[in-house]
Amino acid sequence: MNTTRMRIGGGIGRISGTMPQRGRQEWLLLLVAAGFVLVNAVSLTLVNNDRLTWEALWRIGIWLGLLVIAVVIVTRLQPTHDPFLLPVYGLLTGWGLLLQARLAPNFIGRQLIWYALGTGVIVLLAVSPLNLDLLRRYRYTLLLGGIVLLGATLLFGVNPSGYGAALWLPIPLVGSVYFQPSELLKLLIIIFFAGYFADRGALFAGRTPHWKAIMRAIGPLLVMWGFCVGLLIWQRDLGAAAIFFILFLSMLYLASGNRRTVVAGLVLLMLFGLLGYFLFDVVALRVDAWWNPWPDADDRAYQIVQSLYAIVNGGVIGQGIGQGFPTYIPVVHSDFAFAAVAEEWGLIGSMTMLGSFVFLVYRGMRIAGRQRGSFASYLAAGMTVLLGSQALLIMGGVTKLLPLTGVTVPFVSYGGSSFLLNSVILGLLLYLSAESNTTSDE
Amino acid sequence: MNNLNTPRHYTSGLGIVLILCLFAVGAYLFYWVALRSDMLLNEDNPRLVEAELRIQRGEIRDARGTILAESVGPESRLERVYPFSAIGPAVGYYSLVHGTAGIEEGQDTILRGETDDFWQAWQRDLLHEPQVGSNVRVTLAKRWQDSAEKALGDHKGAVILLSLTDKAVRAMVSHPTYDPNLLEEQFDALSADPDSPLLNRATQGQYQPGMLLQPFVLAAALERELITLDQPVDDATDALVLDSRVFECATAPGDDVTWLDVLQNSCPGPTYRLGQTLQVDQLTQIVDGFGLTLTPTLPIATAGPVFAPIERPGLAAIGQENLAITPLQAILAWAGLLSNGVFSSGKLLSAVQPPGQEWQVAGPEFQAQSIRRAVESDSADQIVSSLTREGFVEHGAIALSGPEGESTVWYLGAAPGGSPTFAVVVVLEEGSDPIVAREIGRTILADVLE
Repeated sequence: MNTTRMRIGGGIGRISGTMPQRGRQEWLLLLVAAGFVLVNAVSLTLVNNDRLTWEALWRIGIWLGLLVIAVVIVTRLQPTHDPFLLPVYGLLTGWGLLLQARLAPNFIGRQLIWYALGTGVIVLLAVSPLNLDLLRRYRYTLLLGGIVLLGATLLFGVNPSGYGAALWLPIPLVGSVYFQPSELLKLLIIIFFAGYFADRGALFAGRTPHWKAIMRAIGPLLVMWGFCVGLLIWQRDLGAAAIFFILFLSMLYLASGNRRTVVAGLVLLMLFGLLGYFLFDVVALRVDAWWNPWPDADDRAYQIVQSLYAIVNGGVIGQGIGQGFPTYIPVVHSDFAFAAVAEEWGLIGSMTMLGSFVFLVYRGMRIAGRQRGSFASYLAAGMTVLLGSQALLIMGGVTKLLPLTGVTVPFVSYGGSSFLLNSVILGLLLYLSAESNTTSDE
Repeated sequence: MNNLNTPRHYTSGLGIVLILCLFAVGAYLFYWVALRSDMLLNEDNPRLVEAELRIQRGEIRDARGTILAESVGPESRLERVYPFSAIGPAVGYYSLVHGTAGIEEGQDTILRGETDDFWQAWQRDLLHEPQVGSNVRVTLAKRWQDSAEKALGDHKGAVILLSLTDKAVRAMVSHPTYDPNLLEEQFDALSADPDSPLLNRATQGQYQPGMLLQPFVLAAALERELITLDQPVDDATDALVLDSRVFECATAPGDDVTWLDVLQNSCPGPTYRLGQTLQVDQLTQIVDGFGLTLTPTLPIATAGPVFAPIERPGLAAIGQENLAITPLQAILAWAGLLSNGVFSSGKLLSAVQPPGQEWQVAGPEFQAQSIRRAVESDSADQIVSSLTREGFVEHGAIALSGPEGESTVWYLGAAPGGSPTFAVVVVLEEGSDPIVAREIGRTILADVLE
């Protein structure tokens, strides 16, 4: 092992350490995650069957095996990668598998397949000699492709659960596997934004610009973005629309450093929200259920009220896996997984999960800050915002801090497309975190 | 090439904003858990039902250990079962939707295994130990319960049987009745039924006492030396007309009527006049002394009397004024008279078996307690021996109970005649025959003494 002292600090905070020290940290954290998942898997088996069965534990074995292989490969081929991302990924995915086993055992097989694919994608992206410039160059083509796929859902879209918004496309030749184009579009728009802003240079040079200057600078971008958001609103995919807005404002801020533009954007968001409230029933319903769910607690606000009961019932230390009643929340295994965490692992558990995302955001932004090229920097920051804002929207939604938007908890909730998308993000972040890959713009 | 510092600086800012937003979620989680735990008690929280379904409610057993109520089924879906459906109103019911009644209500805390011990509750909660209630053994005897049930037959009313040695309630029947096993299906019909089958008439039915009060008033008058039993009474058999209602002797006495005849034939006229002599204060003392103005403290759902201060002492003495009492109050007063004039509380709970432990005799608060001397022993004994005939101590009484001439029939009985060990009260609604009430009472007492 290389024992040269390396500089790995930069961006937010700065830490340094020798290679074996970083490796030890990574394995130690992995051990903690594995211990947590294993103890809970055993508890769940005991709660359900009153005895230990290997049948219930082999999936955890696969989870751990793949995770160890991933860490070994990434460590071997990309020794300077960020040592914290994979353990956090391990913790969240293991926790997610536990939740599926607990809440929707029918889905655990599929979730395991998504996990295996996702882990493969992460390793592949982290260790491959990627040419990010290709992404930057073909950003319009990529985004248009994404929009076409999204548009296709208007014609051919289905919902695998049989009801609700038709946001999925069936994948040909593979029976009953569905793909959600809006998930892919989230990544494509980040690539688009990153490429666009990297090519424009620093917007407005930190000064408050005239509106004409703003329009000149971001006009084409607004058109593309507006098209995406329009499609999403058409589809009633409010979660994705909200994330697109957050991504847009974040990237604009990164490129311009202009807070007023961001504030103006937020005001615009509220205006849109208000407009949506009066124009679309689905928006009005969600906002009403958010603002005061109690009068409608046994009807339209049932989900959020049950979610709050679950959170309060969890208390500080939680009821223990398999011993709460989170299944009273409809679709708890996907949209409301966080409420189940709060009930069965308590405040300690929900804070730990929240903390994992805080940590991911911290590491992601740190990686973004370390990039020598602005495209890579914008890309890393955009992807980090995507991870963080998904967590924020859904965790804020189930706690009634924000109106509910159908977003999944990254790596935890059931959902194949979002799992793969988040794996791509993590793989790219791992790739960008390696010292040798922080290339400058051409 | 951009300024290198610019994106780095802005990524820090962006990261901090995002992290602060996530912290806000954390703060909000803390708010729910720390400040809104009261929410769990909301009626629509399904966890309340889940918790309730998991409570291993204790069994109710009769004096010989026969199970009268038990919880059966899988651990998370326990169901309450009553092996003897006819026992309805006495044992009562336990229902997730409709609550509790009868003994199920009166001993709910013990049966549920509720604890005041904070640490014990906390530990149970933490370890998800099921809440296991204690078994209770009541003083009711299944076979005497059956006997009373059979004797009362189709009559609307109530029977209550008490053993005089320990003042324990040994049978309690209320008709019409219901099957607690079918409560969920029949509840709406039962609660809408004008005959009120859900009401336990023995402990909750409030009836006009009428001439039931006569032995108590006469005992008090003997004690105060206002009368003697061999003293002649003038105009004893004259009908008493009050507010256009006519009161007459239950049976016709012979010539030369004495107070003994007045008592044995239940004649209202002299008792009315005696009430006027006694006046408000002394009459109040008498009804208070025999516990007729207070709710009995038995561990079962009970009703108190309907009571307002006496205004017309004559009417009050013949039980037609402002007082209505339950059969439980009547039998406790009757037992007081039969026990040399000492009024005691009753007893229903005999033993408790906490989970995993042996049976323990119910604590002193569940034992019958002598409360007060209501009348001197000599006066009480004179009345009791006057009422003794054919091996029974008995007093029949009729009360007018409605504007249309409706009446309630009472039978106070005890056996064996010389030194009674069991007492019974029968009350029949709607103008039943006093002879029928007497037959019911005698049949039960004869069964018990066998």
